[in-house]
Amino acid sequence: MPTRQIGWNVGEIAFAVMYVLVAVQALVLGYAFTRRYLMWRRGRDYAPIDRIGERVRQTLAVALLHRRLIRPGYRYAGVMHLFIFWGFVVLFIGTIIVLLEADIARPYFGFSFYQGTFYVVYKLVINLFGLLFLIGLLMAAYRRYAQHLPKFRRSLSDDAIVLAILLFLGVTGFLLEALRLSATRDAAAPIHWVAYPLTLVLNGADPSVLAAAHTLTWWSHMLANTALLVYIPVSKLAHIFTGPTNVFLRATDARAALPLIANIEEQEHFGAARVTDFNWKQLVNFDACMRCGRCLDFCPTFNTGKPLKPRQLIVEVGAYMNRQAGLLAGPAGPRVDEAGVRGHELVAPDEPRLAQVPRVAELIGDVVSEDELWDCTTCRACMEQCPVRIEHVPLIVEMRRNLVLEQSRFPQELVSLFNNLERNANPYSFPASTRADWAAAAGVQELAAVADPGELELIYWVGCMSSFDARNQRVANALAKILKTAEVKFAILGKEESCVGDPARRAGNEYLYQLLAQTNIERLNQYQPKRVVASCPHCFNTLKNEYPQLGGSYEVVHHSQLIQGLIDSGRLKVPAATLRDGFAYHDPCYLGRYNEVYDEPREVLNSVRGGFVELPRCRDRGFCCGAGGARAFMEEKRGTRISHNRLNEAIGAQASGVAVACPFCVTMFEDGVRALNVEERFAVRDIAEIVAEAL
Amino acid sequence: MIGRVPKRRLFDRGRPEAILGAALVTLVGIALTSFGVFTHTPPAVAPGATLALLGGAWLGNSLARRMPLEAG
Amino acid sequence: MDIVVTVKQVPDPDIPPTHFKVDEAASKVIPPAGVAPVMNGYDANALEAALRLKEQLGGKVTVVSLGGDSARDTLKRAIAMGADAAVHINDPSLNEADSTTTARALAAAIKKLDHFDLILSGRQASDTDGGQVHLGIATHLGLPAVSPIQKIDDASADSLTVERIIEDGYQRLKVRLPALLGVSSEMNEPRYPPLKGIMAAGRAQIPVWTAADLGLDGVAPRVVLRRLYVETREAKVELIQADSLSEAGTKLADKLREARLV
Repeated sequence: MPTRQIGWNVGEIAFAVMYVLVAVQALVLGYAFTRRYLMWRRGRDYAPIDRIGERVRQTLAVALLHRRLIRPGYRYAGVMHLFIFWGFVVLFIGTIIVLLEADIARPYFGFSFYQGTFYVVYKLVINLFGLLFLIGLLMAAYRRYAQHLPKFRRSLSDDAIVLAILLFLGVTGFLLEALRLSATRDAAAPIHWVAYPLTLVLNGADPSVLAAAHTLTWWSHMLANTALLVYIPVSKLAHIFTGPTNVFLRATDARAALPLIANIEEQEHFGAARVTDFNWKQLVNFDACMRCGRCLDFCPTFNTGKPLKPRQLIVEVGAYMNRQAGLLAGPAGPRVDEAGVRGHELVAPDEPRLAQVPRVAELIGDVVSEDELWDCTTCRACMEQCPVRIEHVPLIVEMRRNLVLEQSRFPQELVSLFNNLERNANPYSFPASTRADWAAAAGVQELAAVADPGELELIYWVGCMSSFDARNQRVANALAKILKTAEVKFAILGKEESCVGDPARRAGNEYLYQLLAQTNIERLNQYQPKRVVASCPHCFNTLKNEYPQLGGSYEVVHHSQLIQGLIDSGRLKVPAATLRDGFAYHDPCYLGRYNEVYDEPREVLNSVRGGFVELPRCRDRGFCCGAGGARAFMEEKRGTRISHNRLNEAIGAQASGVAVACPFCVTMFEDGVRALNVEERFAVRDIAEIVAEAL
Repeated sequence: MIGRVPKRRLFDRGRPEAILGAALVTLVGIALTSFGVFTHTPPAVAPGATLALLGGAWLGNSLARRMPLEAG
Repeated sequence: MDIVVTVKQVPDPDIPPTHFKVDEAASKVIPPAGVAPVMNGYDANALEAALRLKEQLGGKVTVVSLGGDSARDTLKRAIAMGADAAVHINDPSLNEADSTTTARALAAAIKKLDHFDLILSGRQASDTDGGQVHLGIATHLGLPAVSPIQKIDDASADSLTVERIIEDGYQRLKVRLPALLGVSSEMNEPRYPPLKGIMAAGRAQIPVWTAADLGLDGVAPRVVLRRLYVETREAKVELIQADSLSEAGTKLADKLREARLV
């Protein structure tokens, strides 16, 4: 009857110590996570946690099925982590099974299940998962230290320690099995199929030597296990608990809208200047990071050598926050309540001998630099890839809000942006009265001049760029032509249209955004449009996802969706596409990642051009053009140019041009094409222009 | 559970009574397991281990609540 | 250091000139509809300079403006940026006055204020480009005036050092206070008002003074506007006909000499 003697060769003292160590581990984990919890709770209030069921499902899907971990581009890493995770979990369950057998089933119920068929299956499975565990760890070590990925160029000792402890545990686990099997000449040795080869090697040795080695290995395995558990709260392994917590807490419907500052005129304090200004869900964000670096892979600033590296921002603020929590302070360390804190050194303000020590570290300036905050294009590549759903962009905007609304400290270029938005309702210095000049020539009507607005199918929201910028007026004209050809009754707001406020909002000027938004919402509510179509994804996103916060809910589509709908329904007849002329398609961030509109523009290109070139970094992994986050209105002084990086990718993919669906992308790429001197062989076209040309 | 007020326990938040209570439970748990191990009385182990685990966690929690956090 | 800053509200200088209309009969400029007037750019520089001096040395910044009802918005903007108080001179007999009268009115208003160490003005207004008012104020108040300046250094309660812009460089002058300085745009970049400032400005009380308050009844203008019009210019292009480039060059040189251009 296959079974094993539980606790063979393990003395009573060892077991007694083991249970003491259990208490110690529980104490350390209880202490450390309570400190973290207390730190989180110092943040501001967070909306009530709703839809518990959905949250639980999401969390389980991520944790158990690794839904966000195994995805295109990350198959190796996802499977690697799957092995480590399930390996450890199953091994842990194995320990529980032994506990159940020895401490519950036998003493209380007088029966034993840890034998026979159960035992055989158990051993086969445990060996499999132990092996997968080790394979996963070796895959991880290879990935971090041998693959030379840019994001792992600077690894910390923490990374090595974690791998080392886990590998040690895995190896000693098998070693224990082999030593016992060998020393006891266990006939059932082959079912321990991974340890079996090692058993054969050990079989010649003296049983008392094997027993001594077993004792040593047993103790070191237990101590390593203790070391692991007490190391969890102060290492990246904390993500075991904080990661799922963060996934559970993430806002389920906040795909695209920034949080609203309600009653802005009555607020005294704006944005985040201190860690406690964030709400407590955002503080959990900072703790959930385990430095995988996926946020860096498609980040436009990391990949062009700029100061902003999302992982670094999260890790540094997380460390700053944890030092404030005095994670390692407490009964064993100095008190924190009367002293100022700089980094992790505690400073008594009145002690003369410490007079030279600098002041308390500030969040913005010392921990996070202003350059980092202004670098961000708000493209969401970081948030999209993060396995534990850290939301980097709202954190950055929150700090921008403090700089703009409270401290009035921001890049000089934004002063003209804000002034222009205030005076002219557009980011440029063109008078608002000239907003509809392009339409007059194109024969497009302004709503004010339409006799019966109820007859209109839709309002075309032109946006500032297509209204004023010569290059993008061509897109507006193209879309107007398409709509006329498809006999769609539409009009534009013209002079009654103001900037939707997106650049102001992303730059942190929530007040100016709300002023602009309220003006627009009043006008739109007067006209009560059936449908609004926008040719700019920023307008599209703000109108669709952010205006509802202020009372403006409309049915909004992007022009690529509209055109695809017109083609599909037959209202727009395009000639059969014959040649593929090798245009690449670039996913605009605010259309793709923000609103998951990936397919419609591609279908349009397929209908009209017979195909397109899919770039390596496409869809949710698309690489930003560099204009979002009000960066289009700031100069790119640091690092290399984001738009050039993207253009080089397209040129490298042998494309003869790039098809886009956003006026900012058009502008950035047109400038880039000129700067790279490839005007002769590389074109930039909006989808509307491509379709209009084909008509 | 995050978001819900922690259950009111017998003793409250970081007060010396809580720490003593937690320490006591932990020690009882350790005593039980040691007793179970050394006198070969298996039924004592499971309850002892449970008390040691929960007591240890509670003790850690109480100690953590005792230290105030840094301002701002 | 208590500072007075004079500001003027002008039509937005970023509006393309072609958008302006001139009513020749009334000799008035009509700015395009729907574009709000703004604080004169140089005055914003002056205000920014004043605010920086206040941050450095303490004291109070008071803003004074002569203009119609809409000038109140400019004064509010000044308060939002950080000015402590504002005074609005609003009287139909003064609002459209010439430089001399404007200078007299502003000087009279400044005399009514408690105390000042320094007056900062923009070097000129971007609509009239006269550049006379601030010098007139200094004359009426008996103050030394230095204009246009691009930098202020070594500021103290009694004096400061300025860089005054001249045609091919600048002069460094030490100015004893009280004095008046005409500020140019090279000086600084005016700040964007923080939200708290905007909220405070909304609540601010701004006293309004009339010509009677200033003791200026019946003031006659020294300058009379005869005619206001937009000059139409025609461009004529004459192509020099010649068989070779060198012949064309010779002919062109002859033409230029005939027209007494060389």
